[in-house]
Amino acid sequence: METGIISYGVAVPRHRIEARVIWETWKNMAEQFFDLLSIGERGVLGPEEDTITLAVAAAKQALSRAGISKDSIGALFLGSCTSPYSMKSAATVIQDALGLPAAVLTTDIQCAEKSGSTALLLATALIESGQLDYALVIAADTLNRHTMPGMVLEYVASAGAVAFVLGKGEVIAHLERWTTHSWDQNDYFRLEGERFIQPGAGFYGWVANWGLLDHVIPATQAFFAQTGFTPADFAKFAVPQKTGLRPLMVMGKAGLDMMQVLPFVLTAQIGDCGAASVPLALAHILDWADAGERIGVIDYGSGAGCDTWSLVTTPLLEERRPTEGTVMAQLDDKILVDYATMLKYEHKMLRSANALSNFY
Amino acid sequence: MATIQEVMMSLPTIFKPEKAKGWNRVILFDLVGEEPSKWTLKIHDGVATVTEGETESPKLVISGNSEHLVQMFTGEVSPMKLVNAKLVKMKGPMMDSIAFSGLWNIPKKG
Repeated sequence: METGIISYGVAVPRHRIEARVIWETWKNMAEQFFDLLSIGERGVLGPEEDTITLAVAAAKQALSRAGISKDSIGALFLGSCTSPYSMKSAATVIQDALGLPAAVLTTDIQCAEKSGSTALLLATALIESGQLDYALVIAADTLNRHTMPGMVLEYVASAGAVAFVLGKGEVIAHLERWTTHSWDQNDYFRLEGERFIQPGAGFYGWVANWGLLDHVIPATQAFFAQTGFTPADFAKFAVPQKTGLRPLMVMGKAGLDMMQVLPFVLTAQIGDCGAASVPLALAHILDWADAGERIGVIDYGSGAGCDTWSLVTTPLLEERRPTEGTVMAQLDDKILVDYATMLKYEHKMLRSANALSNFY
Repeated sequence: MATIQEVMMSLPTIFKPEKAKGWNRVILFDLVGEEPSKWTLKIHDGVATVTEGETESPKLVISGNSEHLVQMFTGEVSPMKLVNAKLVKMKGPMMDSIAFSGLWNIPKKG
């Protein structure tokens, strides 16, 4: 494809909580699971943060690195399963916040945690077919605000946003091929009107990974069969990383080498960022990749499907490599909070959402 | 047999920087046995540096007898054997433990 990534931007909450601090309150999981599942810290939303604010921050960084006029953006797609709105497009709020023209095609795309990948593939099709010059695609989620206190998912439920400016011409990575595999399976879900995510199959144990494997394996096998590529043709892979167990399972089932995968798993540092999780790993890869590397992306949406796709970096990547605001720099820039502060910031106290002081 | 100091100071020379791009970690070797000592290995931006003592807060702690660490990095005994026999223990995210094992050009003797 001629279409590719022109630039990317990342935003994660600056506040974090250590899993062991959550455990002190609940003690609802054997302690040795922290190391086995590679659980360490996860993001905590600031009281003023949500999917939209994180998306805007990531998009601003991507646009500032793109070197193109905002007026040339033809579409803005937000991939998220935690939009603050049940009805109304969050993408439109982002478009307005960024000052993009009203003629931009904006929409939200929801396909669980692979919403971002799916949005990116749809935008790519519009550009590749000549209907748009540039598109802004944002993968953003706030799983932490939608996770009930005391639920085991609380140890990893996090938040983040990754934005990509797509187009033709001066790309840092050409998008290459993709396959997808979708069918209804039991995994994490959230019903209309409900705030908190429910586990369809649990957090750990092999049953919890039925959905993952039933989607990731066929999608990735189809990808290798259709493209003729083998794992050895790839330098690096961004893979699902709700816990540290999932990359190991994907690695084993897809025949990937551990050093193609493990250095780019961020679970222990930031937890599960939902739709931004695999794109965050991809951004981390792009922060470090060399020109001419083929990178694989395997993005799973709970119980919904898996998109497997590839891209090849160009010499422009090295010229445009970010010197600040990298994934590592943002992960290292953190404020650790305690459990009560996390509850307050994520609006889980029984007070109105904006009542953070005695003055309201 | 090499000393633990010789082995620790040789780590940057057997390190595979191309495998560690983007993998920034602080690892502590907390050793007992013939040469009890602590060593801090810092991997940052594809560069490995070793200093004696616990100089930074680690994300991964590798503990055991110093002679077993010497055997591991000189290829006398495979790391897997030592870990399975619990002669070398790793405390930290399992992914980091696995990734750590892929970062070294260890001579194959055993």
